[in-house]
Amino acid sequence: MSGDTLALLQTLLNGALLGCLFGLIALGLTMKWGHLGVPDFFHLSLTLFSGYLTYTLVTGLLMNPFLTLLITVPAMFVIGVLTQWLFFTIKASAFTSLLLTFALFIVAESVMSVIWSPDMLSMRSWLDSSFTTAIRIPVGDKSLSVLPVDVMALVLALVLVLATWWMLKHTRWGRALQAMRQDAQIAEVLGVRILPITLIVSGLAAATAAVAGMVVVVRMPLTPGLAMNWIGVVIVATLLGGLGRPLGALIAAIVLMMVQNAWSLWFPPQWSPAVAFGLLFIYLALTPIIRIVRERVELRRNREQAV
Amino acid sequence: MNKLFDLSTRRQLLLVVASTGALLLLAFAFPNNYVATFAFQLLTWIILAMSWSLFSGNSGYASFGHGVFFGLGTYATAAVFRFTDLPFGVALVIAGLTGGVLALLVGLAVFSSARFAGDLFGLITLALAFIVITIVSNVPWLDGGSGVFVRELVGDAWIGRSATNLYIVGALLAGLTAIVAVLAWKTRWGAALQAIREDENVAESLGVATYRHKVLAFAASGTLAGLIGAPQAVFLGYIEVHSVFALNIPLFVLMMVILGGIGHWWGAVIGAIVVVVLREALLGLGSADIAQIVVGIALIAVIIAMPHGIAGYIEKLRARKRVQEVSP
Repeated sequence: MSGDTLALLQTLLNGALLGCLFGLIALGLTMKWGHLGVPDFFHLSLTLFSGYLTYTLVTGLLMNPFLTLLITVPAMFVIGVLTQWLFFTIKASAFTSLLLTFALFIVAESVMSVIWSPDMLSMRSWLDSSFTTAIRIPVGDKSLSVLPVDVMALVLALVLVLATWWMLKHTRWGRALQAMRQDAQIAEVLGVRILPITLIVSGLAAATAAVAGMVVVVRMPLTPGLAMNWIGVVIVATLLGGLGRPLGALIAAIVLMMVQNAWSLWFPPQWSPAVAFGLLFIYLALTPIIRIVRERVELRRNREQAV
Repeated sequence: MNKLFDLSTRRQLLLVVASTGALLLLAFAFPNNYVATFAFQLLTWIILAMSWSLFSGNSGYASFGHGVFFGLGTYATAAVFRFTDLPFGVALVIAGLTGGVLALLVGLAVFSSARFAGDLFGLITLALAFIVITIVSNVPWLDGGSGVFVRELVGDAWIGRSATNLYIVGALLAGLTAIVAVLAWKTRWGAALQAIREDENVAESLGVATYRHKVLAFAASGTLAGLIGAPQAVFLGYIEVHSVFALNIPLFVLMMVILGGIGHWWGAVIGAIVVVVLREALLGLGSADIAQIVVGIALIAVIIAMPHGIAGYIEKLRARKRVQEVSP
């Protein structure tokens, strides 16, 4: 195997694994956006906030990063429930909730900057070497390297996304949620209790931010502005995957990061931030064409059946 | 005072012209450079808030890309100074055209399909910001990643001589923006935009040319933001991609307009004044972060307590008073 192919493979692998992390962040966003109708920018702040919280718990109380989840997950669940409860009590329209999440987003950025300082915080030196030593996967006579934290991101993303997908499809709650999404009023008439469901969905979505935050702090150094950098990729992945579809968002995030990484291999890397949005625009431009083609095909099939 | 905002369009326009005159006269009364600088910054924010509100407040299409037009105006001005010896007036016009043409092109494309409404419109404008940032930071004759020193390029031209001159340009542009804003609220154009905000499908079925009105308003909004980008370039002295296109610029603009209220053109003015003065007062208190926290919490409180902003609140108070007068 030549060095070039290996470099490409390594780049694609890195992209796919980083995509898992973004898919994990997008999971909560796509649930809230698709099923509760709130494009929740605050979710990104919650992710970063849990990252900082994990940092403090690990460096201050010398906790194991995995054990911190016992604290951060319930904490984020409560915050998620509270924000949704706020939207409910003030009967926020979609536009108002968008503004509220944006306001919370900028408040959160400054709060984190005040508490943890605007400087970069890295947890690397506090971690066990089993987190930071690369695992080598032999390919032919050479090898690909993978960081354990990336494997962790992959596993956590797969577990959470598949669990969400299964719950949406196969549990009464999941189906109630889908019914609510189609028509909230009719669902309510048919016995779906809207308030508890929205509160719990929002809480669970926020709880996934705690998990994502733990992966973030293990993987990269934190700054209060980090959440702003994620907006692009996470939102594009959410849209490309289809709103409310966790699996779609994960796949989109993986593809997006693979394309972006491969791009930097062949073209000037400083152009790569625009790649995600370029893909979004291509997708948006192509969807009507796909729809027209699909409708044509269906029409023809119906006609043939009629004949 | 109470009757001030009930006047007809023509009287509102006269009021705008008179206020602009007053603002210009004020330029002679500045005690020092600090006051002039602060006044210029306040006017910049007022213009940004008014021009955003002109399209987004009126039509209900929330744009997160307003900073793009503003920033492009800034970079266009820098490029004019860098490669030509043209006076500031020409740079100003080019800055406005740059913002306007981009908004026109984006508007023509985005509004051509009904799918790009609501959240999706907001995201497309956000995406626009990321794309423009990438382009500007990679094109050598715009920025190329190293920033541009405008202060050296301006030299001893009139505009760069004092903050008061910047303020004068700002006051004239504020007057222009207010005139366009009055027209965009009070004329048939404004009625069409507001009909779009209430219910676009109904508006279209009643014969409102929604496409044309949206494109026109978006282009006007982009032009005004581009225009104020020109003095901003001179004010900053050194321009750099991440500060010029900072994402908190559109956020602050949004906050100002929501705070002030989107129902009236002067809501944006009130909102901008409240936010800028509040921030300046709070900066004395400690760090910029604390100021941002307080402003953000104020925004949340306003959204909860006054869903229609300060302007809407004033209207409500006046309506209540009127009812009391009628039924003693």
